Amino acid sequence: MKKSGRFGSRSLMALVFLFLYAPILLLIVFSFNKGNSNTVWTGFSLDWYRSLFQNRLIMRSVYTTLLVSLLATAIATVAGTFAAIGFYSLRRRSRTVLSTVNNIPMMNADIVTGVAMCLFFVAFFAFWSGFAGWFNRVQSIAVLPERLTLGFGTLLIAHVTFNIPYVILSVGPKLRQMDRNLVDAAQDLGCTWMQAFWKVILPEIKPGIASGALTAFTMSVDDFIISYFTAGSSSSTLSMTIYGMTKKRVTPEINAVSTLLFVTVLALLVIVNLREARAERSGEARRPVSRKLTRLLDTPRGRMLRRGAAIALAASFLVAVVLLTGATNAQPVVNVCSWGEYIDEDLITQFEEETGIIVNYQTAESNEALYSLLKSGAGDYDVIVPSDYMISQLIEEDMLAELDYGQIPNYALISDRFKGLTYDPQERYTVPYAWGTVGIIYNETMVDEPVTSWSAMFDSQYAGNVLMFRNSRDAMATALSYLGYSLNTTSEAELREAFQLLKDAKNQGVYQSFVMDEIFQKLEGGNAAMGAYYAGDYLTMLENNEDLRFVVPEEGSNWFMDAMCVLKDAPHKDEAMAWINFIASTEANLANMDYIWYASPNQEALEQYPAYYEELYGEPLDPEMYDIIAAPQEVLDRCEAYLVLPLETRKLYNDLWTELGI
Amino acid sequence: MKPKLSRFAIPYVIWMALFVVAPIVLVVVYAFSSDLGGFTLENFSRMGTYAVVFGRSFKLALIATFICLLIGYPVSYVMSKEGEKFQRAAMVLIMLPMWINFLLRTYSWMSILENNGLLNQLFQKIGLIALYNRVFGTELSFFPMMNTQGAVVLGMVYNYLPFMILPIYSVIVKLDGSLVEAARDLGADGLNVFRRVILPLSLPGVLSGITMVFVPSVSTFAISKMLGGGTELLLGDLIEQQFLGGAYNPQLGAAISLVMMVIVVVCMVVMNRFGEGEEQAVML
Amino acid sequence: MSKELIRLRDLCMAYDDELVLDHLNLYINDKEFLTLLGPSGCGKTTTLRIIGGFTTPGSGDVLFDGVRINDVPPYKRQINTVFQKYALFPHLNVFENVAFGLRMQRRPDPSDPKRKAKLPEEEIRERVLEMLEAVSLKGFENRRTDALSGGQQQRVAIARALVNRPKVLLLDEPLGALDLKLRKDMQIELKRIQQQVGITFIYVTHDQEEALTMSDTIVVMDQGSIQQIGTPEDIYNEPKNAFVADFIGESNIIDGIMVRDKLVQMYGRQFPCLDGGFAENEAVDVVIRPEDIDIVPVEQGQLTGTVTNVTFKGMQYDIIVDFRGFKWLIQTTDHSPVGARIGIKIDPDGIHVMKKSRYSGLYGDYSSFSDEYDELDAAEPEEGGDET
Repeated sequence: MKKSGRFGSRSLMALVFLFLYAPILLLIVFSFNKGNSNTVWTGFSLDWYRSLFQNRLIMRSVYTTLLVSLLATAIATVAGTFAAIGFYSLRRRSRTVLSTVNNIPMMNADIVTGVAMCLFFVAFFAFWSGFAGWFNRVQSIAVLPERLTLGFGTLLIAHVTFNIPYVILSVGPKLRQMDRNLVDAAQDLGCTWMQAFWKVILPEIKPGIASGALTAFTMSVDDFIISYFTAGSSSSTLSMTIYGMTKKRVTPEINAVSTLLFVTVLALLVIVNLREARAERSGEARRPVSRKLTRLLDTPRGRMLRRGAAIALAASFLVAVVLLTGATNAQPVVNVCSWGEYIDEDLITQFEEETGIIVNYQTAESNEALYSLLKSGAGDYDVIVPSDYMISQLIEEDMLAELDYGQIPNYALISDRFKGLTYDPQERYTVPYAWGTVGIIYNETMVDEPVTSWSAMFDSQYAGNVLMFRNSRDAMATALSYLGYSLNTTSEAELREAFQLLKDAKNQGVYQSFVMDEIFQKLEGGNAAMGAYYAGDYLTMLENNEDLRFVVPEEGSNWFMDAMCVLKDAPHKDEAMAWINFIASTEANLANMDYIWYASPNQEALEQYPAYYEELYGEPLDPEMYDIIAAPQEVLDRCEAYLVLPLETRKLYNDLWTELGI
Repeated sequence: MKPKLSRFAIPYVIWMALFVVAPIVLVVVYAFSSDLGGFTLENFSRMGTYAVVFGRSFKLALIATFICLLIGYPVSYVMSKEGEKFQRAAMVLIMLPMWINFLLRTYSWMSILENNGLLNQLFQKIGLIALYNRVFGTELSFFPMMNTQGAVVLGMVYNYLPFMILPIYSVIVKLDGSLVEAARDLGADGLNVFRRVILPLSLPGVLSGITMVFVPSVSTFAISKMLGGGTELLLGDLIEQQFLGGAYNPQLGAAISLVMMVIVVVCMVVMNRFGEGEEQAVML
Repeated sequence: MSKELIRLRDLCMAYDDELVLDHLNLYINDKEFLTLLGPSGCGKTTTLRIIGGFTTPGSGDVLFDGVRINDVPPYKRQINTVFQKYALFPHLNVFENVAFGLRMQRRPDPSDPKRKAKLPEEEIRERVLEMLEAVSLKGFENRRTDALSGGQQQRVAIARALVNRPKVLLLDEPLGALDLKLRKDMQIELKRIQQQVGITFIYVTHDQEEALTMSDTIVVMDQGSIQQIGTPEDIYNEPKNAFVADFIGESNIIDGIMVRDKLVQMYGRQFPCLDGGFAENEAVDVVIRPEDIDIVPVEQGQLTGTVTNVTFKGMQYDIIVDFRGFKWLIQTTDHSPVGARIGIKIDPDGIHVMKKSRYSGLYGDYSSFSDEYDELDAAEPEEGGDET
């Protein structure tokens, strides 16, 4: 190759590799960052690695991911190899048909596969509960579990399903390349069929099996969308946990765990490749271990062992699936769905240690998203923490369970002004969790004067630097507040006027982006001038950017209460009560208030917080800050809480929102 | 006495029927039903209102595929010419990023592209932005890269480039070397050898690569949310919204999914006819 | 008088410390059918590739028509190659394969002498069809290459090369993949084509019979250097050393002493022969072809020995005779029973004397040959005992 050609091609490769690895290197480097930002380096530290191992949520999702991936790969490799062998000996036409079907999970868009499997499982569960109910009524010898839900079992099934095609696609060509005469030769020399398989076919296709298994494992570990739709509420893979986080802020512990995973895999691959290269050079054929193993497995005892092992493997797999599908669980568990960055995670650990109940903690993006989750059957949680208006909707649709307040003595600590609110006037279904106000958060250095009105969110003064809510209710609420209409209006004219305001602003390029939890990174990083969001989140952001200010605009705004509820069919009601009671305690409230910066509904906590703060941080609590956390009555008077909207209005919201999305 | 080998396939056929075929049938069923359970074509007619979304998704996916081809083909070609040790190492290096979670890799790009992100900080430090301002008379303090369609395309290219490189590479590398020599013997210089021998014979790999990049690009959803700012909906976002997102309408979601599946089937048919298929693509 | 077309001067080539070509010097004439013959690894293919331009020699020169072409790439040389596995382009049909080289050619444009133009389509078509007919593939233009038999593919490869009217055609063991009958037919075919087209063919093979059949000149190579160059008769009748003698045909090679010109001594007996030019009593290798030995009654023989093995080969019997522990091979149509004592007689022109070389002692003894025959005999089931 000419010199110039070589230089050109080397630089091309270098550029491509730089492109591929830039973000990864970034991730790795910032895993050693002292602060928790991904753009600002504040010093070298191994803290995140240390805290990683104490973060139960992450560790559990790593465990789930590895477990699912390893299991699925193992099963898929075995099943896929046998299937490939089966395909290989089929007639051409049947083979083409089956191959095409086999390729579908691989070729199909992940989201379609995920959605399809989700629908299938939910439909199957519906059918099953009917069947099991009938079966249990009809006889009493065997009792079938009536309620199956999405969980580890369905996750595993989904992973196996999309892994097998990769294995088949790797093994298939190797089978075809294999000389057909080899098997005949082996048999001619006295092998039984089984021996021919082990001694002749298997060694020939081993590279295919290995590469198929590796591909399957890679795809499994990296999968996000399919897991998202099939894992349900009790299992989270690492991807799902990260997805929950990427919307707000990815704690560098994730950087740390990814770095560890990456380095491990890199090391493994390097070792494997080095060994292969060395083996090739010195001309070794096979590693002696496998030879000994094959020899051992050939004796009559070996054959029995093999058969026994196969049966044991199959049996244990079946048992595992049944168990893990969540029908019965030895260890007490509670499934909670809340919002991002809405709890001091130490509380989870504390609860688990005190009660021995494992907490499966997931988050949803918005009330509407939560509703979809519940409706689709994909989210079978015990405890949810919806906002006021969603609660009334859920009560209307009879989706909540009445609480046994006897098990929640801490309910007494809730301040009276937060009891018996419009969404649950008879105090049957809820225990308040946190409340706050919606306002405008803005960066002092990026605006000309302090913001006081909603107008800043609609006119082009700060075009391109404004962030708007990415859910219909809150976005419309900002417009309705500005126009002076009730946040709960059902008047189509008023709603359309508010919508038009939003739409015009969007078309004029006022909004940089529609966000929910992504707003954290944007405002903290100084990437936008302002956004409408919740008070507590403002304080979290303030920790990372001192230029931010918060205001409840003069036209008024929304104040909200999020309350804990239990789903009607929750499988772990007692544990749910225990969790709710724990959270409602004063200590928990204080800790939460301090961590998430939202106001507690607990009377004692509200009163004690300034002192608590001073003791914790060694300086008095700024009264302005306290007012932002727990808005004083004058501010609350300006604000309106949401009510549940009638069906037609909700549909109108949906339609308008979809129209806006375009 | 050889047991019928083809019987091995039976358990998997059952599995496929249950977990591959049945779910798809369900999607079809949902796509044609209304939320009260009856048969309807309404979901499809409603899709007309989303024509813009379809168009946008296709446009971005095509651009991303094209860019991947533009980068991927030369890289594959160059790789195939290098020594074996380099090739092996390069393969590993190209596959390795897949081990870092796909969301995280995309998230990392956010930090790089943000208005105050690393790239813009770099540009500011080296005076590129000031230069740009002087040349074009603008008053930028950063290049707006985030929340643009370009960022989404970048995300797609970044995540799916290996799927373009690998199939092409594996086809080129298996090309019979004597064909190249024969062409040179017959008077073809480097450019002609490439144009008349290597390029046509590598077409199957190219087709595989295109399919393997286009399909996930057109159906992606996390990338568009994270890098595109959520202002411009793509097909994947639309589908997700109908199931687990803000607007619960599984029938509509199923209808859109069905359309997407049809697209995939078309791609698969093309690939089966002309491409060297997934086998190449899958080989590590 | 044919003129020299190619000269290889002092070519050296090494792969990974292994010497593949050792100061090779060779010239090749125009219109010559020259074969490079030798065992695997002798360097013949490397030499061919160097001539073709696919390999660069470590040192030395390649001269074409007096011009040094070391740095000229293959597509600029007036040489074409027929590859061992044909290397037909799978994505093109027969016509396009053959036309490939023509489509690469550029000629000065008749209308504008400063520019180069492609060959006109009619000319391409005419030449391709003509060439296909010449290789007996008329009517095959539109066939796909993978639908052809081995022999047909071979002929396409030849047509593809020759249609470009090269000055030299290189053939790298082109007949190796064909079955015996077809191979023999193709040998004659290739020779005919060479004479008809009238260009130089440089042919590489390890099959000595093939080389003898087709070549004008044979170059015998071993371990990177030329052992002998000559016409087939020369090589066969007057091999220069034990290697050549053994490689070409069957030979018995015996230690001898050249008493004086035209007299050589073996086994203590003296044999008149036709060779001279050696020093008195010089140690030499004596070559005797198996078919040049007559079996005579013991009294009339120059030497006597015992038959150890007789094998029927169709055209003749292969008889292994033991002369004081050294086994000779005799090919004759007369049969002698195993164990018989026989005499042999060799005419003077059946004896060929060669200088000693590093190959002496390595070849010529048919002991291993006879061992194989013995084992074969031993493996046969007893059928009534004796062979007649």
